Amino acid sequence: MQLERKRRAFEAEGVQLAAVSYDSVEILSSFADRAGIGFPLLSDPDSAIIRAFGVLNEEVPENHAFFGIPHPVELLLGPDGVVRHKFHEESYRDRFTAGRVLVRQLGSESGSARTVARTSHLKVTTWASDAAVRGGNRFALVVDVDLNPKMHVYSPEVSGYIPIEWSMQAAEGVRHYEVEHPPSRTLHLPAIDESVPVFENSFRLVRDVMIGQAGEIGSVLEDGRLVLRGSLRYQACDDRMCYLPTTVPLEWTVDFEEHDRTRAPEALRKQGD
Amino acid sequence: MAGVVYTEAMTKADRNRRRRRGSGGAALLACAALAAAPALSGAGPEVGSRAPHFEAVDQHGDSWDLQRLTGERGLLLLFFRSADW
Repeated sequence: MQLERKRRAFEAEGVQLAAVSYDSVEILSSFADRAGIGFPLLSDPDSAIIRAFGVLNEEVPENHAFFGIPHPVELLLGPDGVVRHKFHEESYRDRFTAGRVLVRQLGSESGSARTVARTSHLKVTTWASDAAVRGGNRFALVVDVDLNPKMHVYSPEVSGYIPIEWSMQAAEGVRHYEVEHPPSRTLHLPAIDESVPVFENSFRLVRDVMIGQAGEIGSVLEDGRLVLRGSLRYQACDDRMCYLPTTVPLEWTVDFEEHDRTRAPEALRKQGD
Repeated sequence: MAGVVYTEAMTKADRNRRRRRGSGGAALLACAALAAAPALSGAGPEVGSRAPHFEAVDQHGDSWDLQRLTGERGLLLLFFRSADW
């Protein structure tokens, strides 16, 4: 399970992990040993918890061995037991990664290695929420921008100036989602008596990306690694002047892993399976 | 409307299950506060609602409930298909 590798990062944020399935304790024990799982795998053989949470998959016929399975739902609960975030995938193959939850919901800095680019106006650090991903994963790409002193760039809602724009190269089997920008600050320019929405100092841009299975994403796989490319375009200004619009090429590289297909010993499996 | 029907069906199923178990001390008894979370078909509890209380046994045979599972800033609770297939 990919989640186990992130366990310490969650614990560092004060968040514990638990997973529920309809498997017997024996099957969970066998799985936990094989996969090295250190957090509670909870056995719900009658699917009572699954029903109580309203996540039972009702498309499976009652007489089928798979009856009782849940929809792939992940809940981030607060310390008071209130649901703070809900992640509901359309298919079992599609998963929000644990790293994405860490970065987007918990503000964690854990993730892939950083890549740094510099221009005469700013420093750009790119990284991904996960150092390794699998087919069907939805994870987060991060762009951290550190502007030089007194420098600002324009936020997307500006008019009359060139806003900061993060583009991604289109690739087969790769879906890019909207960029999330931080709140902008309104800067008053006395010389021309204008107020403009800007970003200053250091700020973070985040966007999700979802990748297909290995056979669908050939063009972005390079030697077993997933390489995504994009660019950041901006116009920077300081208190004296504006500089030429600039485009910085960006790149994210993460490991691409095959799915784990090992199973429990035959004697432990559900009958009829 | 479907949500109401589902909740009633679930309550009935739950009652039957408890009857079947008797007092034999089954390893797992999930006492769900059914009223706390609206049981929408497959979608799970709404953001902002309270998760139902439950108790369950883990891979080592240790017992847990929702409160003990939860860390000081919360709990990431996953429902997954099966550890077997």
